[in-house]
Amino acid sequence: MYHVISTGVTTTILYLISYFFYRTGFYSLNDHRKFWNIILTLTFLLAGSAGLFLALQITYKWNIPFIKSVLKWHVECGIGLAFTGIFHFIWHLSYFTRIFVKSEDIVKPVETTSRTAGQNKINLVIIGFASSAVQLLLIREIMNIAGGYEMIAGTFLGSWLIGSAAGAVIARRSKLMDIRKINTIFAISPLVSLFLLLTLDRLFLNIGETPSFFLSVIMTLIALFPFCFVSGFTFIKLINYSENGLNLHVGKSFSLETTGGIIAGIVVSILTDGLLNTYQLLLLIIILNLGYVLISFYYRRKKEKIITGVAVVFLAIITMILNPDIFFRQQLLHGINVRNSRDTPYGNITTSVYGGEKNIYYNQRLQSYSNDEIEREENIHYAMLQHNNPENVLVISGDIMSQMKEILKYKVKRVVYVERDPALINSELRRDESLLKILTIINNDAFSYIKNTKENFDVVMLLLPPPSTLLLNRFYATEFFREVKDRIGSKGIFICSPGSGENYYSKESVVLYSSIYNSLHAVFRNIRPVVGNKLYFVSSDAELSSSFCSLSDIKGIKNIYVNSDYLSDDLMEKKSADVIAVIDPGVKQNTFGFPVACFHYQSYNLSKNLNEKVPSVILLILIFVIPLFSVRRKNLIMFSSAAALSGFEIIILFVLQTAIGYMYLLTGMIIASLMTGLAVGSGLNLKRSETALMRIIPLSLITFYITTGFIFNMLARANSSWFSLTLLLLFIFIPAALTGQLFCIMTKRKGTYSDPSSVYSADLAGSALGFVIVSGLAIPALGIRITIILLSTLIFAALLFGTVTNK
Amino acid sequence: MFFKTGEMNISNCDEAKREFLKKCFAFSAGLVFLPSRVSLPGTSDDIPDIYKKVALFQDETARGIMCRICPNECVLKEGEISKCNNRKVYKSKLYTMAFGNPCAVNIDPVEKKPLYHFLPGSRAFSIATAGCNLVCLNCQNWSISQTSPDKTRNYELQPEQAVDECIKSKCSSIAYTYSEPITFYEYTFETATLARKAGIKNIFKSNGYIYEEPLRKLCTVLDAANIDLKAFSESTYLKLSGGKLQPVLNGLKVFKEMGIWLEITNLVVPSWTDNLDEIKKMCGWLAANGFANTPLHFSRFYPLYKLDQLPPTPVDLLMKAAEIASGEGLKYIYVGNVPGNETADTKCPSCGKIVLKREGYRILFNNISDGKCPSCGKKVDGVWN
Repeated sequence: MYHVISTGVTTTILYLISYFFYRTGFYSLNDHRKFWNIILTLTFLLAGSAGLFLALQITYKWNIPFIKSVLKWHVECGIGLAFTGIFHFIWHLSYFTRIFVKSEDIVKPVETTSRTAGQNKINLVIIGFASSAVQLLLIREIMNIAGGYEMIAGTFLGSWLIGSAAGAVIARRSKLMDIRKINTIFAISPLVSLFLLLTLDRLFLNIGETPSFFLSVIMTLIALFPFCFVSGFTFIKLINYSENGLNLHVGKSFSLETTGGIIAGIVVSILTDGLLNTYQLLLLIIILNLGYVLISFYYRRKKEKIITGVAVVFLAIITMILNPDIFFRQQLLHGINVRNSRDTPYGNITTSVYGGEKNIYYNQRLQSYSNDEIEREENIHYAMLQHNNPENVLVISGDIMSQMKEILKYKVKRVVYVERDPALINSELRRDESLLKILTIINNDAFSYIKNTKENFDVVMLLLPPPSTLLLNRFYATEFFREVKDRIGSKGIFICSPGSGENYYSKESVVLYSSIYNSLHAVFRNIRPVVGNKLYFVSSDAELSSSFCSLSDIKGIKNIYVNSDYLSDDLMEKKSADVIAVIDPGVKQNTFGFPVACFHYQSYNLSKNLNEKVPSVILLILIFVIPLFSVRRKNLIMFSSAAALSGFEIIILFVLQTAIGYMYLLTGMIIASLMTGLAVGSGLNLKRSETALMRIIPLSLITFYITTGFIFNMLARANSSWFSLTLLLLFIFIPAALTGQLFCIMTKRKGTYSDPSSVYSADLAGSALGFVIVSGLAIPALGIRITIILLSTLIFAALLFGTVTNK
Repeated sequence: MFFKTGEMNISNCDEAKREFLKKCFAFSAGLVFLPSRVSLPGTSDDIPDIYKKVALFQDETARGIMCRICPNECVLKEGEISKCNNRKVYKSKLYTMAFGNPCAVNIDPVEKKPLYHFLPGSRAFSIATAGCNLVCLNCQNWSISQTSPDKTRNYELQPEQAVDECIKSKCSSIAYTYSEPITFYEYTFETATLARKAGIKNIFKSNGYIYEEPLRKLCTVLDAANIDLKAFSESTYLKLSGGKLQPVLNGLKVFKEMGIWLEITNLVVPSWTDNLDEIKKMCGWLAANGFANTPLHFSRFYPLYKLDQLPPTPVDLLMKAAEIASGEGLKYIYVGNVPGNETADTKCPSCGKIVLKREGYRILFNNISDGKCPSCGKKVDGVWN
């Protein structure tokens, strides 16, 4: 099936948005047409070259492995081409009609608005605030929709930055200087992105379907583009206005915008800490921003301002009272009946009812459901049956209310349950006093808990989802298994599930499971794979058995599923042996330094849509590498420094999780430290010659990254959490401040370096590339230490080829 | 014991190097002589291992070679691969790439297929090669169904070896299952023929998306089949699986007519196939077309593959579906995949007494003697011994 309507509707909506930008003066008719001519050329080239491949395959019997994919994209691009062709035809139609109708070209006068420096500064802060707040909220949502992988976050940031860079480039050419109009469109544009996000979700996805990686990239790119484009455009127009009309230096403007971003980071962090939901806050920001625009630009009289203020407050209260998230979540999870939606600092909890059964979704993935006998028995008994007398038990995450039914079948004395998100813990459980006599609930990061606790356990059950992200990957790494081993000793049992039990293990799943198996093997003497509905690895230094039916009979454990009614010991043994037979001991262990499992998981996930592998790679190259060619040689140093900084940010966040554990507020602090560094750096006016600084700063960055690469292990293994945190905050502040100062210098002197918009574009494009390269390629291929050192090489190369030299 | 074809020794490596060099030369030569003659990988003069068997049911048409096994009706030109990823045209003939090279080999209780009226309590030696002629969004075995045998890690298990292994494993039957046995038709047919001679039963676990002629031929060697009736609407079939309903319904009639023991599975997928009116229509059709005595299994869906945002099927809904089926006159209705809430016992359709009690896949008692109910003496449909 091909997306005739979906592609057609999407192309038409995008055309209308582009047309709107032209009509409002963001760019000229010429630019509008140039843009669509590029789209026309691209779709023509793709459809044409795919058609050529098909022709070659048919005529010369070429054995093209991805021929089905080629056929699909030949048709899909053809649909896009047809619709774009219609727009093209309409332009030329007007040429013919003009032959008969005499008309005059209307040249609009360029509008200007008189404003004070103070008003402009506030405007810059608000733009920075709204832009960052919308970014923070939308990234949460897109991660939820697409599955939460780092590559999606990278694509999000990449699309964001490239959209903004495009806006910045167009702003340089645009004659539009009507700040009022620009602000109005900026205030409305998040609604357009939101509308596109929901529309694309409904148009391209079947009921209950998670988008593939390729579709996620497309959706992200299209949905974000209108807002990011306007955001980049607005920022450049404001700094131009400040510089030319108000004598405010570009660096200061950048600093003000970044300050708005810092405030947004803090405000969003506080408000999403259980106070407001994502869409609620997003709508609130849009309403307040619109209110600001109306009061500042449209209404001059006090009375009008008061009425507008009251209307805004009223709308804001309505938004806070009603929970619009239920409506939005219902659109995204169509097919099920959403009853409630709540955001916590760690994720979204959606409660739904289907056919009278209650289901809980965590970040749009099913977390718990009724009649879950198979899952809960497998989770618990494959580990518990192995131990002679499991008295002390540690359960990491999962639906504890359900799991306790199984755990209590044993004579346990103490159960510790660690769950990071307190909102996931059933309120009934907190009131159940008899249960709470043996159950201790700890709301902490499980890694942090196991690292710091002195308690010993007989059985540790890791019930977290498979290692699909860097955040989850730590729980499947050698270092974590060592911590577990320290707590369970030689007789204790540990169980984890890296994926689903299958009748056949594809090469992607074999590599994934091998990396985790090899990590377990480095710590435990015995590992027993158990193939149930999920694949489990039961590990211990003690002997292990696959005779679960016999064990449950001997121990008198009455189960519904894990017993001889459904299972047979001999068949379980055979399946276990089959898994061991495919495990590849040569696959690299999953460790903190080389977090390979989550990348193997993503590769496994990509294999669900084999036809999309090649287009995904092509699309990523188009998104992230093409902007590189638009960066001028003299801006290469900005591009590479920004790439290094965004890549380093990912590494620091990863080190934070490794050293301290995942804590939402700490992550916010790291981002705030980075932004403060940028704001301070870009706002500083150093009394040194710019030429000297253009050498000193890159060299300082190179030295910094090399040094950090060598002391990475010390950072990751620091024993004191506070010491680690302080170091990490400092370590992100330093390169951020240096990069900010670089931006300031490069935009200070016209002619010598470049104009603000091209420096800003290079900065954004570099950041996008750095994020994706580091999170998607460098860390799994080279490990963290080499990646950090590589960042310095990147800057060195730019220094070598990109700095201005005397001729 | 059988060996994996993926395992390679040193002599194999040398051979692979030579093959590589040969292909490189062929590639270069092909480029030089383009467009008069092209010789690219996959079309060299030696017959590669993968073309093990000429495919059955193929016709030469003006448009290319037509595969007439299933309603996908692939018409393929030289070097092209069928939609099921299993068949390829080589030197103007259609070859199957799936013969003697299963990627999944397991032993399962026959109840797991599910077959409740066919040798209860026995085990089935289960084999599957890669490939499927449908593209279900909720496929449980997507890692083998949506790929081709030249991309999977395979066992070397020729038909006679499969029969030997089945006997060694003390299984009563061979089940052609997991992915889609229609796509490895030739392998299934030849193995089933040998198995029948050896006194082993043959079980066909399939989507039933097959044309009448090949099905009739296959039925001559089959003993039992469980067919997935995925939905009862053409549009749902197309959207959910990329197939059509009518050929499956036609196929069910052929199984019945050919005397194959048949059971039907209906996976109830929330929001897709859980419309009770549609279920009623389906059961009505089954009753009206002579399937009242055919066991119908309503199976619970779990979020899988691309449909991972759906909840599992509510148990009440499955029970309602079973009630509807009963109301339409179907005699043997089971609700499965819900441990603790299953309707798994076989009742006598005449007196209603439990004649075979199950707990999961385990038979607690089987009172059926000579295919009859011990209480009323009426026939209980099935293959019991």
